[in-house]
Amino acid sequence: MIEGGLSPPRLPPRTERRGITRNLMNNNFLIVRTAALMSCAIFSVCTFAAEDAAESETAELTKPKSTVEFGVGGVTDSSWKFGQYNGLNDSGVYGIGNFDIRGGAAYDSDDATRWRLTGKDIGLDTRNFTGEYKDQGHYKLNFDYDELQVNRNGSYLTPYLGVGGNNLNLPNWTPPAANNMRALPSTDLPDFHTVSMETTRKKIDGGFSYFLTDHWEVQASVRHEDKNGLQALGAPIVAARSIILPNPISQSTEQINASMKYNGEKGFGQFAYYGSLFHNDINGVLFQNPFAAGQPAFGRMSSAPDNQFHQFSLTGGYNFTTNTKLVANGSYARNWQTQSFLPYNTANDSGGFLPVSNLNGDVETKTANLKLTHRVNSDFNVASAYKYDERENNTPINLYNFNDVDSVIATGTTPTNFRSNTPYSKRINQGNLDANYSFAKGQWLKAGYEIQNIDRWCNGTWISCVDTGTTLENTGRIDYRGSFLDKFNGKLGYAYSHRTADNYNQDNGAWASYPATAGNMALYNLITQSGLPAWGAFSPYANAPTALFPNNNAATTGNLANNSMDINGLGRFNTSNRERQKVHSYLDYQVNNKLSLGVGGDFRYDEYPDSSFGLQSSRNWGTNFDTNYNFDEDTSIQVFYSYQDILTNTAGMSYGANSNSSTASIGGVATAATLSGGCFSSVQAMNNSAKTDPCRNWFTNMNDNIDTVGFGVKHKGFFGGKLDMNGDFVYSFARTLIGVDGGSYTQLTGQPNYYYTRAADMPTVKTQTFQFKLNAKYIINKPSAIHLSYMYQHLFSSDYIYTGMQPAGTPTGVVPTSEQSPTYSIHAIGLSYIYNF
Amino acid sequence: MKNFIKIVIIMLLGFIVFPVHAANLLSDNKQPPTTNPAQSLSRDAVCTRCHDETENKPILSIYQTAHGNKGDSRTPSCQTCHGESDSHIRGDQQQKVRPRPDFTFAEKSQTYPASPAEARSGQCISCHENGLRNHWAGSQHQSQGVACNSCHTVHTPRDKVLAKTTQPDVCFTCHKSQRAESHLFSTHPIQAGKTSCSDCHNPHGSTGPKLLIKNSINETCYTCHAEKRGPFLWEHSPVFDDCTNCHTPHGSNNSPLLKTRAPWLCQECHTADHANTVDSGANLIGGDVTTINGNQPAASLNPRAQANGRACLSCHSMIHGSNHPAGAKFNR
Repeated sequence: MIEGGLSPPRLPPRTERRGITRNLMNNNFLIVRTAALMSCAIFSVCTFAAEDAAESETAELTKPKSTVEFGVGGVTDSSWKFGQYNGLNDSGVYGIGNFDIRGGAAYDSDDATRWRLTGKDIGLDTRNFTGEYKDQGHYKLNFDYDELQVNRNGSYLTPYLGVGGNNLNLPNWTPPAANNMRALPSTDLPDFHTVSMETTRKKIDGGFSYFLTDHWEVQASVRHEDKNGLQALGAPIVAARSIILPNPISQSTEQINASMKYNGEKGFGQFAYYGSLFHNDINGVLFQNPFAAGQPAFGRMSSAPDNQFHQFSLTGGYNFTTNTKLVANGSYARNWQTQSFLPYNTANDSGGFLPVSNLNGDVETKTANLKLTHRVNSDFNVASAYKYDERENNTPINLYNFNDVDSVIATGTTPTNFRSNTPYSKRINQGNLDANYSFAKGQWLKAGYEIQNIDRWCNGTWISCVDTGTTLENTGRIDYRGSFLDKFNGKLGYAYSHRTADNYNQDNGAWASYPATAGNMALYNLITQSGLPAWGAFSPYANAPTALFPNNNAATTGNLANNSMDINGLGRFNTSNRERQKVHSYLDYQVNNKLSLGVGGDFRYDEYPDSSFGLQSSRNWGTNFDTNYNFDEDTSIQVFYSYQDILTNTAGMSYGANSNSSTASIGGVATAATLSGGCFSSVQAMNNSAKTDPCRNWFTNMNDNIDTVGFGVKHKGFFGGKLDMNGDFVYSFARTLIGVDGGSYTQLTGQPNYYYTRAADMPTVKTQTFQFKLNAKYIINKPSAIHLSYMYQHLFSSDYIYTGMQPAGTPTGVVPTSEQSPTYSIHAIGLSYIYNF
Repeated sequence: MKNFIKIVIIMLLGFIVFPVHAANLLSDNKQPPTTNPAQSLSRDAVCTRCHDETENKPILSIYQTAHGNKGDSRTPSCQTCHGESDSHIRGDQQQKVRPRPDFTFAEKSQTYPASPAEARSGQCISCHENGLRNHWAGSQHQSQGVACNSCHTVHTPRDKVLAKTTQPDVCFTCHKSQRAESHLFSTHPIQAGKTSCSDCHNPHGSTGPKLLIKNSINETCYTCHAEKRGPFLWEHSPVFDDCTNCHTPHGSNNSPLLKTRAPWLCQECHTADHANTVDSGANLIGGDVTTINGNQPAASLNPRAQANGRACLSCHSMIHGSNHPAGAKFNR
């Protein structure tokens, strides 16, 4: 410590540390240096001037820099999509404001105090402010305020009044005939008005950290976040009729982090708490029925319930030697939800009763992780890990008796639905073993093995509530990574996974949600023992008891009616048997110190060999090409191209009920009616085989093709070092192609009575984006600069889904919203002044 | 539950109050600094007499950063990271360039090839093992030869990877598919600079999959989407299982961040009742029309609700879970 308040020595004077002294051992340079010193001796003022300049330059480098930027910007057109996240959704003028102010003691002071204030985009709805004050090594205080406006839909129209609240009423409204929204009376159209569907998040963080000793540190932070606005929400009412509501959002979340850390010579430890408390001001939204007058007059959608999550964790690491390390972690968490239930129904209580007033939802999460790494020598290291992760849902199970979508129940009648909740639980046990071996300088081979066992269940259901209680997945992987010829770096990796599922039954979830009545139990036993599909018998299954399966069709007992069970052979992709292969590769080539090239590729293929229906396979591959060229320290260009191809194949069957009865007509069509196309010659034959008709099988392949091209250039020092410029161009073109094979029968009046209509591909979904950005900074003098920014962005999108949102094109059962596929061409420009100090 | 909340509050207070008292109690016993600014700068001067403001790469600007704040007794000197490098300092008259320092970091340097990644990271981890780096050893990045300075630049006061707006560019250097996905129709606000990679990932290693900041994918998503955490009365099994069963977080051509679009996304798992139907462009206005006789009856040109607009979600909109007693089908 320097006494007398003197500063400790600063960097040695420039004359002792000039960059040229680095060549001290070079004899030639000694001559140059001697000459320089002699020259300066002659012109002594040279020395002082040089030292002053050097000190100034040194101070310039070592003193924290502050920057303030302010100016104006403008956007030529309004677009919700262009401004989806950047706050520039409206055309017009915006203020530009950014600052980054730093201060505190000098680097060579005894005082380690530093502080910083930042503001970004302060003129926009995406503004951000941060602050930090610290006595480094002792404590730190920080805060953060952030806003984010998210525009969710453009051109959204709704007839509802009271938007923003949770009670939505219709004006003087005439319901469409036959509940057909495509025939909406013209008198209703003026009632539709624009609503801005957007949400805004505002969050504020505060925190501190404090060093109790050199080894112990305590940290805590709190974040409060509000989310308000409107979000579209589908709200069905009556049978197969729906409205896209302007759903009010008014939510807040508190997140708390607190931890105590220890850092020692041989290891470290951390005890931490994380809490997340979600609160929703809105428990539901009541909306008037816009369809045919009658019941119900209103419907009510629920909203996300309040919930809390509290987690404690303990982490420790110990270095047995410099080559052997153990890290262990465990956590315990509870998650509650006790929001009061809404009534069953808007008109009455469905003639039933709520078994409990709230869910009393309770989930425990327990995790444990153990990782041991050992470096045998510089060429060989191994790592093993174990992971345990359990989410146990202890929510009580109750039986709920209700009618669908607020349908009114006449007094004394019984609601049609009896369902029990199925609180899902899951437990992961996973082990990993990896070995990394360097077989030559810079050449690494890595081999790894992973075994993952996942158990899924529900506590308290009368049968298993999941398709499979246990899945087991084994994964082997091998990677090569290396560099060669001092110019190439590359990697090639391959992984293969095999997942098996125990006793798969695609209907367990549905069965478990039905009440454990004697009838349901008997039916379940019958089906599981006979192998019959729940929707009735067909070849090769034996005939089903007619008492339960009329005409061998789906059981009509209670909730099992309406083909509520899935097709035998359905495999849900997240739990069914799966084969997975993955390849990852890249190769970088540093041609010289100016030019670099890189090429890479990824491939993943998933196959579900035992799934006859549902997702059959998926494939995702992509390739990337990058190049950089640095002309010099100040000028460089970058070019990249990426291509991605994502394919999913899905199979299904539009089965129907067999109609092997002797009735004279089926569905109003005479059994002798003619059939055009399909797999049968008559309607009767078609109906007789409605569960096995191969023409009802369908197959879909959805293919996303994405091209992305980027080009960037930057140059510093135009006009004698006064002007820095950079420009970026990105082009993205994504296509979603949906191919459909199969078909369906269409009943018509006239001859023939039935057509078999072949399925057709969906129109291709296209999204094309051009983005060009240019930034120029002109340095007026040392502290001042002018910043010019320009952006042009163009989006073309075409998506068939918007057809179904127009007044004349909407499906018969959905109220039109008139939303359009977004397309825009927008220029944005900004001019600002920058002051550095 | 109330008792548990009380315990939590008390513990939180303990977290705040205890350190203050403990700090006072321990202040007298606090260990003296191992170095003071003068000592540390003297060691730096061995290097800065040559490596000064004339360097092309920033050297002295490290004094603007936490690593140059000499008032903190833990602040390193040049040798702490680069090693004592005696031979480099002494030089070698037989060589055109000096022998390399003990630890060199620049990965593209032609003069001094970078030290092995493990050695470079070792220099950093020797001080920064705790906190976010708890799980660095054996992590994906560590085991693939990524070093701390592959992403961080230490000597500059503005480390790109620590700023939300510039961090993705650093990550995209290697993660190029994610770079392309961030430009798609449906994304998180990555390009807008409002979401950074480290909001979800801890690149230094974690207990979660894919280097996520929490123990699981869902726990990570709930840090911003707590309304989807529940537990709900009616749970949708793939939702509690894994958000990425349906969503792809970096970008998609199918809103909102869906892996595939409805109804086919739903039909990957559902074949019962009206989910069994083939959805086709043949029923769509403006879509391809192919029938057995080449004519599609006008009455059939009616987009099927399940395959248009919001598709299945027009009705089953509470697909993340419903707490309505009549919401078993996620339609309330």
